[in-house]
Amino acid sequence: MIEFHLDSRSGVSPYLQLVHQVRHALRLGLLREGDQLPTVKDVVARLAINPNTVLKAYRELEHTGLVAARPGVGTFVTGSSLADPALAAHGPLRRELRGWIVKARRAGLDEESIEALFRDAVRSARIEGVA
Amino acid sequence: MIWVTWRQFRTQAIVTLAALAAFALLVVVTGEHLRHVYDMSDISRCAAYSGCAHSTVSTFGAHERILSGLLGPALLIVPLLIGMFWGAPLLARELETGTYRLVWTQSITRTRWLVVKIAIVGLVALAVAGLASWLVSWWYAPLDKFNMNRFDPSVFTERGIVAIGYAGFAFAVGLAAGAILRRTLPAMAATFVSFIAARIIFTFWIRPHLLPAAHAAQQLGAGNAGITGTPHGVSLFATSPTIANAWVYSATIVDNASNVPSAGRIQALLDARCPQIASGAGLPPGSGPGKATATPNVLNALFSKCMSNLSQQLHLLVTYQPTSHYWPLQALETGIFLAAALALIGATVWRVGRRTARKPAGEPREPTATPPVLHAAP
Amino acid sequence: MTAALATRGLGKRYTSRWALSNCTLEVPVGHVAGLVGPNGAGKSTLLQLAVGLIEPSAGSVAVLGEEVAATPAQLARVGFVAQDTPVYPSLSVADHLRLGAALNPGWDQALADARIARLGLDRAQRAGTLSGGQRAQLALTLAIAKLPELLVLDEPVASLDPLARREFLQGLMEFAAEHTVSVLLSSHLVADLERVCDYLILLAEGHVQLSGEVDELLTSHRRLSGPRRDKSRLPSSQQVIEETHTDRQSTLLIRTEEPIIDPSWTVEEVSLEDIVLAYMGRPADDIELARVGR
Repeated sequence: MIEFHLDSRSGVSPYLQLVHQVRHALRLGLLREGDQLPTVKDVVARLAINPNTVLKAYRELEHTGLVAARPGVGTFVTGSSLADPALAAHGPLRRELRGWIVKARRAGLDEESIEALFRDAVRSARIEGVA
Repeated sequence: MIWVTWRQFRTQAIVTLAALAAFALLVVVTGEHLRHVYDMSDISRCAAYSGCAHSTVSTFGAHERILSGLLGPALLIVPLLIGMFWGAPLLARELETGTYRLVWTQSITRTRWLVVKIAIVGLVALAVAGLASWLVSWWYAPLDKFNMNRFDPSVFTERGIVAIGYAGFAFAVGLAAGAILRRTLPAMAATFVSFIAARIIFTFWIRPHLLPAAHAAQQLGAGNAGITGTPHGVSLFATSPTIANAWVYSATIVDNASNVPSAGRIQALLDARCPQIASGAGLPPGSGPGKATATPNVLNALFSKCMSNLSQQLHLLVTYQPTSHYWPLQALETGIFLAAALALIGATVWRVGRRTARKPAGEPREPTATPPVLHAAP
Repeated sequence: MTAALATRGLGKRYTSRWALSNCTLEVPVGHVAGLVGPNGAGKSTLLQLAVGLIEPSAGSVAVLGEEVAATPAQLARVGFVAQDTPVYPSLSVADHLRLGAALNPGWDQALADARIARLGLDRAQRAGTLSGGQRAQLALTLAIAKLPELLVLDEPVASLDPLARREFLQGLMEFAAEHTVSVLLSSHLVADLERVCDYLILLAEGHVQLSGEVDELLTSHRRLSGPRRDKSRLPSSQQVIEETHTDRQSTLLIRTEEPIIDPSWTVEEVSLEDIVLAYMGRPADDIELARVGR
C-alpha cells in the first residue's frame, strides 16, 4: 500500500501533493490495478491533515479515471494506465523541448538555471490564470 | 453525578469516617468509665449541686477532667472544619484549578451539578455533626446532671442539636465564600472569620431575645445579695442567683412596686432596718463605709436578720430563661442557622447557574497589550 | 443550513475593557475551522462564549442552531477542550472516563477505551502525573467520546512539544474523518492550523478581521510586485490589503476574483500565514471590507 508524505514547504497545496504521489506511484509501478488506496481515516491519522483534503485528492484522481471509489469498501486503482490521451502530443513536444534546451545551453545557462527557468515559467502560467 | 460527587469526596469521607470512629471509641470507652465512677460515688446521691459534700474534682480522675475540658470544645470545631474543608473547596477548587471548564462542558447543567454536590456533601456534614453532638451529649450526661448548668452559653452550644445547625451554616458560608472569592485558601480564611463572627453575634445579641424571658421574685438572702461599702456609707447589691439548668440574665433589687430603689432609699432602709450593718459594724476589718467590699457571708446571723428585715420592702427580681425553654431554644437556634444556610445555598446556586459574568480566576494570561477600546454598537 | 457557530454583534466586557466586540460570524458545519489571532485577541473569550462558560455582554451566540448551554441535550452536542487541558489531578485516567460516561448520555465507552489503549495510557495512573501531551490526549478523548456534533478546542497544542502536537492533531483528524463533526480550534500560530483547517477566522483586538474558506482565501489573494505606483491606479476589482513601497518598487497584497492582466506586475501566490499577517495589520475601520467567502 502506498504511504503518503507531505512537504509543507514546497508551496504546492497538500491535495495536489497527494495526487502527484499517486500518479508517481502509478508511473513507477508501485501501484497496480486493483490495489487499494489508504482509507481517508488512515491517511489523516498519519499526516494530521484535513479529511477534506484527502477526499479532494481522491475525487480528482477519480475524475481523471485513475481510481474508482467503491462505497463501503474503499478506493481502488482502475485499469486505465497513466498514459493519458495527451500521449500522442508527447513526441512533438519532446522534440520542441530539445530544441529549446539547446538554445538555452548556447545562451550560457547551466542545467540548474534551465530547470529553474522552466519551473518558474510553468508556475507563472498556472498562477496568472487566477480563479 | 452521584458517582462523580462521591469520587471527588471519597478521601475526605474516609478520613472523616476514620476520625469519627476513633472519636466514638474514645467517647464510649471513657464515657462508660465515667458513668461507673459516677454511680459508685456519693455525688450521684447529691440532692442539689450546692451543699454537696463531694465535688467533681475529688470524684473523677485526671483523665476525665481533661476530657471534660476537651470534648465539648472539640464539638465546636467540627462545624468550623466542615465549613473550611468541605464547604469552601467545593466551588473554589474547581474555579481555581480550572476544572470547571472540564466539568461544566459535560452534558449536565451547572445547577444540577452543584445541587447534587451540595445535597450529598451537605447531608453527610449534618449527619457527622449530629452524630458527634449526640456522642458528646451522651458523655457529659452524668456531669450535666451534677452541674445542672446546661443553659450556660458555652455548655448550651456543646450539647443538643445546635451543632447540626452550625455545621449546615458553616458549610453554606464556605460554599458562598468559594463562589465569591474563587480561591480555596482565601475562601477558607473568609469562612473561618465569618463563621466565628456569626456565632458570636448570635450568642450575644440574638439568642437572648429568641424567647421571652421569665421573671421570678426571690427573697433576698445570702445566695443572691450582699452588702458593700460606698463613699457615703453602705449599699446593697444583687448577685445573680444560680437557678438549676436555667439561664439567668440578670437580677435586680426592686421594691414592692417593682421599681428600682435609689441609692438614697436603700441607704435609708439599711439605716432603719439594719443599723449595725449600716454603721459598718459587722463588716470585716478593712471594709466599711468609704471602702467597697462584698461581704455576703460574713457574720451570717447578722446578715440573715438584716435581709429578712428588708424583705418587707425589697426583693430580688430575676430575669431568666427557665429550664423548660431549653429544647425550644435549641430547636430555634438550630432552625435559624439551617434556614440561613439554605438561604446562602440558594443564593449561591442561583448565582452560579446564571453563568458567571466575571472573568473566572485562573483564566489563562492573555496579556492585555493596550488595545484601543472599541465599543460594540448596542 | 444551520451554522456550527453563529454570532451576531457578540461582545464581552470585563470591567472597562471589551475583550470581544461586535463579532459577527457564521461558521458553516462540516468544516475544521481555525480561529487565529495574537494573544489577547479574544479567541479564548469567543470560544468560551460558544460553549457557555461565560455570558455575553452584548449581542447573541447560537451553536448548531440552538441557544448555548441551555439544556443538557444542547450541552451533549458540543465537546470542549479547554486551554491547558484541565484535569482532576487526583483522579485516575479510568476515573475520568467514568466521569465522562456518568455525565454524558451519548458516551461511547468502546471508542474511549480503544483510544486510551492505542495511546498507551495507563488507566490507573493519576491524571496529575500525566505529561502535557498525555493530558491533552485524555482531554481530547473525553470530548470525543461523547460523540459531539461540534468540537471546540481552545489552543489545544500551544504548550505541547512538536511530537505531542502532531499526535494530538492526528487523533483529532482521525475522529473528524470517521464522524460527522464540525471542529473549531484556536491557535496563535497559523502554521499549526494550515494543515488541518479548511475554514479560517482571524480575530485581532477583539474584532473579526477575516473569515472564509481556506481554499478561497488562497486563490483570491495574490502578491503583486512591480515598478512603484499608487494603489489608486489599480482596477476596482482588486482590493489592496497591504502595501509597501520603496522609491522604485511597490509590493501589494491584494484580494481579487479576477485574473491579473497587467504584465508589469510579478504575481505570486501568498501563504496563509502572510495573508493573516497582512490582515492583522489593518486598522479597525477597514474591517467591514475584509469579508471573504460570503
